[in-house]
Amino acid sequence: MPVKLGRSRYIALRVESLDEDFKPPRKEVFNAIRDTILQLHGEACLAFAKVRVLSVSDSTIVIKCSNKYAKNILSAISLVSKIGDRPAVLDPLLISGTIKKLREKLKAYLEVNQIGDEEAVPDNRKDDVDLATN
Amino acid sequence: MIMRSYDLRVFMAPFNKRGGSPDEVLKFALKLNIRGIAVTGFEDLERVNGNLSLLKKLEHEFGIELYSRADLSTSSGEELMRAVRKLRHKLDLVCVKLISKQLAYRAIKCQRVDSVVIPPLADLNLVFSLAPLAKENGVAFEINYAPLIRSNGQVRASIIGTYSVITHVVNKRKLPAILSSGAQRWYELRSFSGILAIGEVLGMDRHFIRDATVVCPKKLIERNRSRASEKLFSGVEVT
Repeated sequence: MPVKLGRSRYIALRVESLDEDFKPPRKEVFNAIRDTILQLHGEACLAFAKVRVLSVSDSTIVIKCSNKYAKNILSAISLVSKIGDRPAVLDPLLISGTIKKLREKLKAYLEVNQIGDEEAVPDNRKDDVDLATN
Repeated sequence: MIMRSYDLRVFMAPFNKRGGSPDEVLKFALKLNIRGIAVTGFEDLERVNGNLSLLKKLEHEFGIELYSRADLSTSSGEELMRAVRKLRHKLDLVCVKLISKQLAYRAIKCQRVDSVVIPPLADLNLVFSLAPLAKENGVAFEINYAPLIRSNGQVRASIIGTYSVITHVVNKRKLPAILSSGAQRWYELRSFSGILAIGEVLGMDRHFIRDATVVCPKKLIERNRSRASEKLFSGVEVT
């Protein structure tokens, strides 16, 4: 009987670079994330986090990781400052429990992407909402 | 809606030798939705006026709020007070680097100083002893996350250790705190969501980071600008 060993989290990231045309290959993105996780949280975290780069589109990357290690992965991702040989930053956008929900949110996020007055925004948040807002 | 944070310590080339090109830094800051940047390197009194006009020009060109900032590190307390007196009315932010005990005590007792920059490998006993005075005088503790990005191995471990203790002290004593980048290159800047994730490692919660990157910097800048713009009688405070 198939047994589900743990829950997953799907994280949407954006590659931020000064070069507008910079589209790093999946392998390089994975290597950059893997190296930072190894440096910051160690081999055990890398093993249990089960990080996979699912898709790399124009400038948005979706990665999958274990629910328990999602925060560790996010912190490691934020410390990435180089992909391959080129300086670039991975900016976490959204986190969700299912890929379907993440895609819906990502679509809405990229469409809306409003910049507003943060004082007017309430402070109560759930886990499954976008990371860039409050 | 996207949260727009302030970054109150960035090194840029014409103002500071260590800094990166202003074009790159400001373009990238706009990409990351950073609301305002304080450019450090206004310590030299003779070059202040020239640097301020250049800063205004850059602000106009890129459409991002730019603030002038001096990071003072003098050899004695008297010298520090002299520098603060001369620079205070010209600059948006006057900060002091925590390099010696004597200087730290002098800075933290001076209400004209905005923040004390805590180095990544600071003496924690000194930080503990300064905390009550900082609370009393409203001087903020400032920490930079760029050293975390730049370093690795043992150095990064030590920085995480130091910063997490400082976070604990700030939380416990309810001190004003500022979290800035201290970036020397554009790729050391982070958006609000990036800072949130980095803060997780240092034991900072969402409220802490919101206060340290948006609320407290905004208050400081607004207070200093209103003080500079209006002529107030001595004893009248801008709240």
